[in-house]
Amino acid sequence: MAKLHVSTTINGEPTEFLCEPSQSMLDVLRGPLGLTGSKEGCGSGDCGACTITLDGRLVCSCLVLAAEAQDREIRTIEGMAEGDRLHPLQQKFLEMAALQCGICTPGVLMAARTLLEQNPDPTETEARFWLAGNLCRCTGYDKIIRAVLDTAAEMREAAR
Amino acid sequence: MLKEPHVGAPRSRVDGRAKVTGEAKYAAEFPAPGLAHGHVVSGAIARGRITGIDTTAACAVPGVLEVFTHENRPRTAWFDYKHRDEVAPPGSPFRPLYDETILYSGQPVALVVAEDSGTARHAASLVRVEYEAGAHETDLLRAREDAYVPPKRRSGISPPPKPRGDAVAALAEAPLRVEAEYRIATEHHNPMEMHATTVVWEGGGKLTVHDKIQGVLNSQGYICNVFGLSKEDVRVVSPFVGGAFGSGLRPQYQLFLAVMAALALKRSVRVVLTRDQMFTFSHRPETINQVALGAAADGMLRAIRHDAIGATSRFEDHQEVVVNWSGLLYHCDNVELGYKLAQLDIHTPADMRAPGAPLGVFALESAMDELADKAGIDPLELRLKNYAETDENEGKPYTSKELRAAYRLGAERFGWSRRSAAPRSMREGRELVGWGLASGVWEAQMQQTSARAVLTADGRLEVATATADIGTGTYTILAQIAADAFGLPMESVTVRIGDSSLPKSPIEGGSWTAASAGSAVQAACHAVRETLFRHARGAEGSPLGNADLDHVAFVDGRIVLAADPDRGIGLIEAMRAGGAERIEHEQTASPDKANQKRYSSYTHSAIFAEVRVDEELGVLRVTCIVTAVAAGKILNPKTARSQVIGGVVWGMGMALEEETLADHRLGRFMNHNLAEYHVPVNADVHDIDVIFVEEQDSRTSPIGVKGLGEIGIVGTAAAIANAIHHATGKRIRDLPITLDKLLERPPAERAR
Amino acid sequence: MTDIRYLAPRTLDEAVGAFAAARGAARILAGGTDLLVQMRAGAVRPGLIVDIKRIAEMTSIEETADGGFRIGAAVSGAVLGEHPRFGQVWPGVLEAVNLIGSTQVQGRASPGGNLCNASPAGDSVPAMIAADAVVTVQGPDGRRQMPVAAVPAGPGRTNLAPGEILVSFTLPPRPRGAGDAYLRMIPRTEMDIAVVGCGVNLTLRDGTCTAARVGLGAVAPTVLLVGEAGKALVGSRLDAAAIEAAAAACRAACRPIDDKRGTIAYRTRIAGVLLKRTVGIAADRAGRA
Repeated sequence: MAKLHVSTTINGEPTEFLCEPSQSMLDVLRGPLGLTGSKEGCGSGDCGACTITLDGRLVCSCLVLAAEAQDREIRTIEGMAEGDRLHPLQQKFLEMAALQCGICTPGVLMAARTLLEQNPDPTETEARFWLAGNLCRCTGYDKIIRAVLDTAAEMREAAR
Repeated sequence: MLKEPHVGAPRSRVDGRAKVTGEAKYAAEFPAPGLAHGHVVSGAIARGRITGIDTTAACAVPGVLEVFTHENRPRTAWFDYKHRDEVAPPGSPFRPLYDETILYSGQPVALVVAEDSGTARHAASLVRVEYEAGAHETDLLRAREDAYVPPKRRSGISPPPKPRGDAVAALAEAPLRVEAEYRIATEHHNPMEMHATTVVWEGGGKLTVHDKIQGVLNSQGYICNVFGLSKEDVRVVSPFVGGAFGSGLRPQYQLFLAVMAALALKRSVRVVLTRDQMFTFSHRPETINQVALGAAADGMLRAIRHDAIGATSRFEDHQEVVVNWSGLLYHCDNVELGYKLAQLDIHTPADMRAPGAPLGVFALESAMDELADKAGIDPLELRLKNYAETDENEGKPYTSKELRAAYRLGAERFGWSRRSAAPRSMREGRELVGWGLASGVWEAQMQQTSARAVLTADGRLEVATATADIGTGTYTILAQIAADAFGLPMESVTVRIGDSSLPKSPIEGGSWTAASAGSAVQAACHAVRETLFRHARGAEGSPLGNADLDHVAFVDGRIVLAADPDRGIGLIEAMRAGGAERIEHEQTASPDKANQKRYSSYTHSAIFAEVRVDEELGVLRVTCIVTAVAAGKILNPKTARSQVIGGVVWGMGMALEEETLADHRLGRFMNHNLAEYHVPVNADVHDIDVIFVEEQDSRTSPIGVKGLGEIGIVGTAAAIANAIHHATGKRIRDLPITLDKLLERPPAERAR
Repeated sequence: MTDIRYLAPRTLDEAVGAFAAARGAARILAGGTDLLVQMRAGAVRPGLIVDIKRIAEMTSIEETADGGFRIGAAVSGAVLGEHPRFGQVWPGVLEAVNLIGSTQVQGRASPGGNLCNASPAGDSVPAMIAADAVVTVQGPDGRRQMPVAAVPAGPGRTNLAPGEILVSFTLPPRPRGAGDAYLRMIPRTEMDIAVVGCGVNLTLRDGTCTAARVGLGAVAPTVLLVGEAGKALVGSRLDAAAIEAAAAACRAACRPIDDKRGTIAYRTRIAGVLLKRTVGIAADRAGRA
């Protein structure tokens, strides 16, 4: 049986790749596609480090088969900044020290972006539950939450 | 006007951009042409030997390059000592694929190397291993009977101090006594990044190794010793480490296996462990504490006894400082402390964030709470009453100790004075509310470290040392220190670390990196400054005249007279004047031996915790933590606060969630994944407030720093346990405090 | 590595045909949140993966003519949560479905997968049982319907016949005064598996309970329909005695195990506590309805 040929869109770019039927999207991103910004922290959907969006929907890429990407749209951390211009969340995470070792960071940012797209004014509790699937072992979460809520406030202000 | 220095100011992480964009490369992410992938086969029994390995099916899978086992592995160093790394405890280090002996469950028994990782993983599942099982023991409660005092002490770990006074007699006579046993479960580090090594085959026998390690020189030395290579041929480069917390202090087995395979196959090889396999090496040892406190009726301590037994492997005596804290946190004339090990059929434990301290301090600080209860004294008052002004273990003054201020500031911020003394006396709706406190302590250390500073004629400064940044903020604080030395913006500074070709640095651990690497970078920068200053003074018509170095300041890329900042010369101009394209100096910073002899140096903290307990369900929330930390100079409040909050949440995990459970019949850890091994999640965390207490300390390190990586966790579990007692009246002495422990009821009721 | 096939059919007939033809070597891929973990761990190595998410019937939500709902088996928790009406009619079922895993898992995981995974602790199952939901399955011999409670056979096993695929859930129309709720007990605040889960669905008329169903999870090898608990509530005005009788029925129904998350004693006790709290919420909702 030959490898599968998959045509998809990644961060707005039409992309084609070959994969094994059992290969996860994460394996293909980190391997052949060289997009190592998505991290593998567990391989079982427990940590959120591999978070991407699939047709705008937040998913763990370790729990998606690469073959499922056919005709879908994928966004990864590599597409979050526009050229040199960081996304407001990325900028705020930097300013507020909401990251340490950096392994959970891409997944947290992807999840936080989707949160703010759906809910521009989340409460602290909403943000904490939304991000509960993103484990972090360094920061104690506090600064992550502050950064997300601060970014939300700034983006609301900017949108006025 | 001198500009505000970078040191002491909140500065953003200089490595932050690479991390928020996903560009930062970690050990498993470096590309290499022709890269092969290894997958580890983990052993299934706890003790015994392999009687047969059948690799036929695995080898037959298309794409498999080789299956390494103890039967066919290439030769490595014969002598035991060759396998000892920089921080190995006494004993015989674990040697992967060495022979047929099985020492613990999950031990690597084969490495399958294939063209891609999926093939290696699949083929690994086809390796058939037969064993002859021997009798094993993984239960510390049974093995404690055979506990022993480790015959050889581990380097850098102080054994318990000699007894002072007569603790036995004083305890017998004391009007108030607390005697109890406190236990802490096995924990695993679980950094978010899996342990991984990429070995790049450079040709000609040269290797570049990207390893998940807290000290690149430790990996380099280990590889050279084990495989008989010269340091010129092995370069270890690990610029980013995705957390480690101690799991990366010693080279782990994936490094051995990746290098072995690369040398045998003469090509680049990567080995990444799975999350399951992250439970097959380092861990915090299960530890049993017995504490006895004797006090006068007014709460003054008369006697302290504290004996601990920690688990270790059959092959190494891993030791930690567990009980010594009980001899120095409070004033007491009669103290007897003991520390033993008990061997189990497990991998050797390893240092895990503040090794030893949170274990012993949980026991002591719980016992102090019990004593406060018995004496009818407020727990804070009891601690102030017994405050130790000096280190009574060693009979030395402290370099600095602002714990009293920490108690005061923490109590004020928390509102401790509003606490009602009786357990179960505070309630809100369906929930019981409890307030508890504890003290924290960690040794402040500095280690000899070298660094290089290079100033180039384009006005850029590079500083370099072989230390690591495991998420702590090393890059950032080194950039701050270096920038300040020349009055440069931080953007003009490049920090290089995590490379074995750089000046020598110890492993990153023990909270000593800021003090050590920071002092070394400062020393190297100062050496460059001296040379630059000579050039500046020698410049034609130099405005500095014959001022000496003490009379100038480095501001905004210029050297100016401190007394008259308008007069000065630019750095680039000064270099040009001296005809220097670059000025480079390497310096070594060492701790002050005389100070070390005369003084003791510790960081301290006071932790206040609020818990809310839904008693019907046993559900518990830690709704507030205030921790006041006295840790000398704070280089960067942003990164510092992160470090402490991270430690506090580790303390919450230790108190309530983290526990690796063994099935003693199989001798195996059962909850080896992040679904079953619980670390705190975002929704578990509520308000955490960090206070940095003003503390001047000029003796621990040249830059006044005492370290912050560990102090956040120490005492936090005790504060939470004490708050739970205050809320519920239940004293749980067995961490983690899980729901069923909180709900335990008399058997009659339990049967309902 | 290449002996696994992946198929993403557009029609149910095609899926059923391929699935049945593979004779047990095939696995259905809905959200994949269990299947991919099992494959990664080497616990399963299917010869064929049938991805059902390109079949319209499996991924759609319909309001039936009589006011009930038909939910495709592969509808994800996130999609169900975004439906404008479903959460108003079946808030208990929705909150149960939305407790399956993290936000990321919600983007994929489906009630169909949750049921077919046949974990005694699956969150959506007690609520579906309380709701009296019926599933439609299709196999080589055609379609049939069965109550949700009849699907699990034991941990990891279902009563689906070889070759059968779970197609959809049908939830009945709601009378006035009906309300449902689901509560679970977990040690961690989030990202955890139920130690006990309790779904309650009841109808109130003038303050008297006229119908009640109770589903209880994680206390036996399969999720239980606790008929005695429902009976204890029906005819009462949900007074303390009736609720205590229902709680006692829940405790009596428990046949749990000791594990890392909870002891037998703990689970048994908590089953009663959760019943009381869940009835409270369901009754509030029924009162508002």
